Amino acid sequence: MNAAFLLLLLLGLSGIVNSLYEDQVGKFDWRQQFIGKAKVLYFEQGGSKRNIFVATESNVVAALNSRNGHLTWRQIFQPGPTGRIDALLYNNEDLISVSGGGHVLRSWEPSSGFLRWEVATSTETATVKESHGDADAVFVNNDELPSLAVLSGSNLYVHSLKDGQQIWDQQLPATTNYKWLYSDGSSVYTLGLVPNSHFNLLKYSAVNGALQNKASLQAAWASLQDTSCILVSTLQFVCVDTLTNSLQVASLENINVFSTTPLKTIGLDKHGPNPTLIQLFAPSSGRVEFALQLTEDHHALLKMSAGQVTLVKDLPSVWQITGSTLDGNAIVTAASWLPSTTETIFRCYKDGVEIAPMMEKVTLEGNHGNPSKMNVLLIDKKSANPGYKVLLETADHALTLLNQPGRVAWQREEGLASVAAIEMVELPVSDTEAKFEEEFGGRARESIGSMFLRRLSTQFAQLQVYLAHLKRRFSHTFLQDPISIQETMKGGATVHTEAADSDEDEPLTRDEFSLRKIVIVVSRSGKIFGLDSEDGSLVWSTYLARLKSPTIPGHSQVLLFVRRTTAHFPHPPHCTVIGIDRVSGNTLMYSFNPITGDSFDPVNAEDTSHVLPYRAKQASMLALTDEQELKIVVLLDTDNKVHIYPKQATGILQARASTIYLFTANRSDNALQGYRLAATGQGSESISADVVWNVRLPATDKGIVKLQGKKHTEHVHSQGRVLGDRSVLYKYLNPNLVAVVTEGQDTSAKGHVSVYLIDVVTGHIVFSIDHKKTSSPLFLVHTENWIVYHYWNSRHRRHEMTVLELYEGKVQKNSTVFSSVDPPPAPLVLRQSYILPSALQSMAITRTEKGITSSNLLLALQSGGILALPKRFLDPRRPLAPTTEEKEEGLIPYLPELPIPHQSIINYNKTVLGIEGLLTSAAGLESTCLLLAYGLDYYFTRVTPSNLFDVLKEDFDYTLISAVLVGLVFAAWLTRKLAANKAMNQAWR
Amino acid sequence: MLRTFLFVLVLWVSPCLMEEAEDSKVNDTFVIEGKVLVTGVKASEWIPHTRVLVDGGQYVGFLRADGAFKVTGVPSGSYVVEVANPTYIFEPARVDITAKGKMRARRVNHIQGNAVVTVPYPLRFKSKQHFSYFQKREEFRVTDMLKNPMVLMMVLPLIFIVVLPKLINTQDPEVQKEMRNMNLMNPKTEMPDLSEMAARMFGGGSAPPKKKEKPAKLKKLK
Repeated sequence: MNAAFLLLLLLGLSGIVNSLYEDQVGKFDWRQQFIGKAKVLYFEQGGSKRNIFVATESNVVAALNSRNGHLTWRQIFQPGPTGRIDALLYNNEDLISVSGGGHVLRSWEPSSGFLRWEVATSTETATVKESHGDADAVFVNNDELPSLAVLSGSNLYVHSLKDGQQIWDQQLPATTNYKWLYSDGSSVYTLGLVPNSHFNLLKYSAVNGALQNKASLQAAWASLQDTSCILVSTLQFVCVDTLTNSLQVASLENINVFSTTPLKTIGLDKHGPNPTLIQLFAPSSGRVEFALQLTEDHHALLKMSAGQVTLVKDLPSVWQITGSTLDGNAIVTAASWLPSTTETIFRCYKDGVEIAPMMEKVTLEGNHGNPSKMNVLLIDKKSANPGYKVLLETADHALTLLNQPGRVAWQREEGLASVAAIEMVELPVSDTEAKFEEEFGGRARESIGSMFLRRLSTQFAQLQVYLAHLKRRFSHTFLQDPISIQETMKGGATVHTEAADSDEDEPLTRDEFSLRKIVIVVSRSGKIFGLDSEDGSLVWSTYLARLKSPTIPGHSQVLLFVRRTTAHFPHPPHCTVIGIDRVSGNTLMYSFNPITGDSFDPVNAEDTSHVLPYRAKQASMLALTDEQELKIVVLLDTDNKVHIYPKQATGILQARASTIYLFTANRSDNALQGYRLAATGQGSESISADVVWNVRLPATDKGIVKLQGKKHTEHVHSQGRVLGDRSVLYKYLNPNLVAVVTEGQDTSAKGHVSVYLIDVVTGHIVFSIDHKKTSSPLFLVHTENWIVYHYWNSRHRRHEMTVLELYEGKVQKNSTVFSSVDPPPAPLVLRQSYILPSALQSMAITRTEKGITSSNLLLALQSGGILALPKRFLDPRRPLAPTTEEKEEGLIPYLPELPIPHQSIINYNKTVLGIEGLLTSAAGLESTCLLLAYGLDYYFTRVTPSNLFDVLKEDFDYTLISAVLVGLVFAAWLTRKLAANKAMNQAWR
Repeated sequence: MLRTFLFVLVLWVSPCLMEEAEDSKVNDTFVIEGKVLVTGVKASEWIPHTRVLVDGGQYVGFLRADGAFKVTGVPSGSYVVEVANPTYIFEPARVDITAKGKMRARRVNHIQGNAVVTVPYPLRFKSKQHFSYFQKREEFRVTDMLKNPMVLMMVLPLIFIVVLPKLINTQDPEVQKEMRNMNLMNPKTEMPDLSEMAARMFGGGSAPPKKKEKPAKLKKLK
């Protein structure tokens, strides 16, 4: 009976969860798929020559369509070092990925991305190999037994290409660090270095692994880290010797000592700290050219002739150099780039002679930084010289395909796949609306007549805009077919960054309910993007070459503050990025207009004006504003000095200094420190920070894994919760409460997770809880008076979620304002835990304009769905057996497992993978929250936790209602007529 | 007695401890194998979108063209293996791998983690259902309106009052006869007619109806 009741209740609830209708697919949501920063690039040689194969640093192997840059297929490996791709090998038929430090080999069908075979090279635990660095792999082009050789740590494996079966393996002596691998088809060579002593060479038979040769080469000059060596043509082994500034050459065939060629004698003088040799052609091709990178932007093209190195061409200001072959034509392409211009020049050399007609000049739109990777595909043309395509990766991680006449075929902004900071900003009102604003904020006194005229003209302009809008809308609906679900499934490809053609001339303006916003993304490559939330297209981008990418994964060292929104009309909106300078390690501060991307600081390309003369350890945006409605930013540097931006605002701050608190947290030693600002005198340096509290949480080996405060912009609608007996349970709404999570191992080596709620004004620990036998991944959201977190329970081997809700009790201490200095008694903490039958990629909550709408938890599941789970399911007051009062309150009876209803998966079959975070932002409609999932995939949609209660539903049946109205009017007219007739008849009788 | 009991307890506990100690030392990895089946759909339509997730994506497996998969590099332990596909639903399975590499697959039960309902290993995942992500849109349908209780309450009596009498052809002599019979059978006839009673009270009354009534009564008594 009870179970039936529960079932009924759940069924009833499933009706109210927010879900989509099938015809809404693609109406207000979009998805873009990225691959991350490229590591290895190949043009497809055989077959249709249509694909480009890429392995990236985000553990992705993908094929891009070379015509438009769309994804043909994409496979995402497991996260972390066990899925890291060490090498991607490609010949005409096989595409082999080597991942996890050489432990896993996978062969892919190049055209479709199907897996052909997968093998593990060894059964060792794949945890210790990070110290070995990257594994190396080469094809063994043996005619009878095509195979590949993998060098992983001190192991050499040879596997068949056909089915991945291991042919042989060799344990190499661990005393030598084997780094170089080469095969000529019949033998496999590997070279290792004993630092400052000698190289060891081992030569094995490719067929059976028999040792064919063993030799050592004296090389006292070679140290492990900075020795760059390559193989050139007929087994010539070339190394850079930084001690004597020379090149060392030895032949592997008839092994003897290195012959030395000083760089001076071949005309090369200066070089940077790490000169690197670059292989231009595979040694088996027999080509003798190779290149030496002297500094980042200085290369030299060298040639090997009869065991001697000669200089072919000195190439200053060349950033990238690569070689490619076509039917025996071997062409070296060099890309030169000057920071002062955005022009990239490609020059081609054949046998050391420049081919002048093949020179190309390309100007990439926007600022992309220096070229960082290049791949050239030669195309057979009828004319004397072949044509070519260049695939260029720039320092901002963008991938560009250039066709021969200096034309950009397509560009992928892969920088978006690595987000350091992200924010949504409202668009400004349109010009006509702005004129209205002017009228109300009129400074000068105007006569009634001119005001009236102005009103008329603005209204006329509005009418015009509206008519234009109507016209566009109609043409749009006629032209555009609804997107069917099958199409989105099959296409998989994305709405891409090509600007939408129809809306191009339309300026970005706020729509009726400000559902359209601009998304500001600061990427880890140092690029700032402005994306239109309507379709994800790129509005503007700026490249900050000096912004350092954060080193700790998952913890951003870049802050993005929206200091002035578009609401303060005459002043433009204002955003500030605070990060670390790549060169000096000091703090970098850059302010810009989020709508146009224009900088507010004077800009010149290589300037250092954004770099501050100190390193900040904490930066905070205050709710206080200066006269121009610009929010004040406070920076605390490593010497505990306080810096205030804008500088003129110091006066405003001096009066309020004693009420402003800052805190810092040390991730590794679990220490938190609170500071209070104090006004010490006059002038710009007149504010200091005093330490007011120190909290040292119990030491754990993983330290602080999560620290989450509340958003200061959030709105709490109701101060309490009405219970079934009509009494009110008041919420504990402390705006200064911060949740700190530490993780570590206890004495029996079992992980545990501790959650502390700390008031950061006083340093008072309000509440703490410890979960034994639990571990990360940990996700936490903190809002209003509750905290929800998700963790792994290693005892029961399942994912669990816990909710903590804080209440002051039945009486409220101060209903108008919360004071941390005079706090209410210790809050009542209600808690409950649940099982979530899925791992998460990220977690967030919906935010709405006024916080009236009930909130949904947004969970990005590992399977790729985004689940919108009503907060009602995570309510610590869910009773085991509900009483009538509790039923009246609408509490759901407690069930240990949280449901994952399919209809609540808001991204339907558009799965999102590699998600790093979910960004939620309130729209102008109270019922609606905007959601952007970002990471490898971008997915934008609207979430309505309590359905669209404040506007007519979009499926509102206008035709029916108008038909009924017309019908009623007609019926009224008809009956009136009939009644009149009847009355007339009766009168005649 | 107590001592022996303790001894037994220690004996029973110690292998468990040893097992745990072994667990942490092991550095061999194993391969989880299985096959995913979706019938009646072309391979190119579902295989590229399908991934095998072990332990919530800690280990990932990919499908070959025939649906078979291998997840390599998994150390011993207990893992939930799930197949993620945006269209088809597959039931997850839990795979236990002992330190020696013995495999066992069982059904996932998050609430009672120790419950064992074994499923065959190598794993076989078969799709039973599609995901239904979408709500049906409410449409205006005449049947919906007619099913509305208010409408039913109004329309049904109307049918009884207006339509039914017309359906029965009162002119038909057979029907007339039947109706008369029904009248005779009707016990309500025992009830005195109000108008007749009034007539009787005020103006002598007529005998025939009474007489008519009597034979009926007698019939009943018989």
